[in-house]
Amino acid sequence: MIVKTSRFGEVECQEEHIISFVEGPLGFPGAKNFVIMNHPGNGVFKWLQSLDEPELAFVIAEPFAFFPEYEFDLEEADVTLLEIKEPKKVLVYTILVIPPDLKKITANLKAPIIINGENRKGKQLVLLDDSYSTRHYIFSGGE
Amino acid sequence: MLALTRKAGQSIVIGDQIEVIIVEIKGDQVRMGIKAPRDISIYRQEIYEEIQHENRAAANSVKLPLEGVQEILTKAIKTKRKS
Repeated sequence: MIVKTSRFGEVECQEEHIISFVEGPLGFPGAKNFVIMNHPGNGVFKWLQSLDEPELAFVIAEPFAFFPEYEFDLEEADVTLLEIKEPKKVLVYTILVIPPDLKKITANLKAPIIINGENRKGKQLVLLDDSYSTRHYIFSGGE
Repeated sequence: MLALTRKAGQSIVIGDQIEVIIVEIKGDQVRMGIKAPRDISIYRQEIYEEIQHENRAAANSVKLPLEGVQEILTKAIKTKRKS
């Protein structure tokens, strides 16, 4: 299928690559279908592009590259909701905020995106754990 | 807005599937239990708003061309690996 996006224009995307969010990311309840697109140059960040709202895209990255100690437990309810059977097939991403001063890029570790790679169901979690906040500088000197 | 008075141990039922129970009242704090289907997410209101705000900020922050982002993220990873 052909998907319209503000950033990338019309993009061809395979049906089996579509990620269905059980609920849209907070603030975007209507955005339930996404595709993950590599950034040109195949780098460390990717795009989470909405298929429902052409202008909506997030920059995401695997949090463990920046925060090797990052960990959280999945709630039983989410395991059921996303029908997770194989923990190794679960993908974890963090949403980045990219301000004009790139030294101040932050990662939202409080609300990671998780995707069950087996059925491509996804959800933005909100961790109950208070050790993570919505703004972690990826550079230690960012603050 | 509907306002109901309840005592500890009492509850209210919303629709067919949601029940909110007053577990404990201690000074100015109320502890609540919530029974709801798994596909209904439950958040503390201030956290809910914070994440909404952060998501909007994230979406808006990437509308401009992202010159140099690739390099700086790669650098951040290298720095983390060294430390």
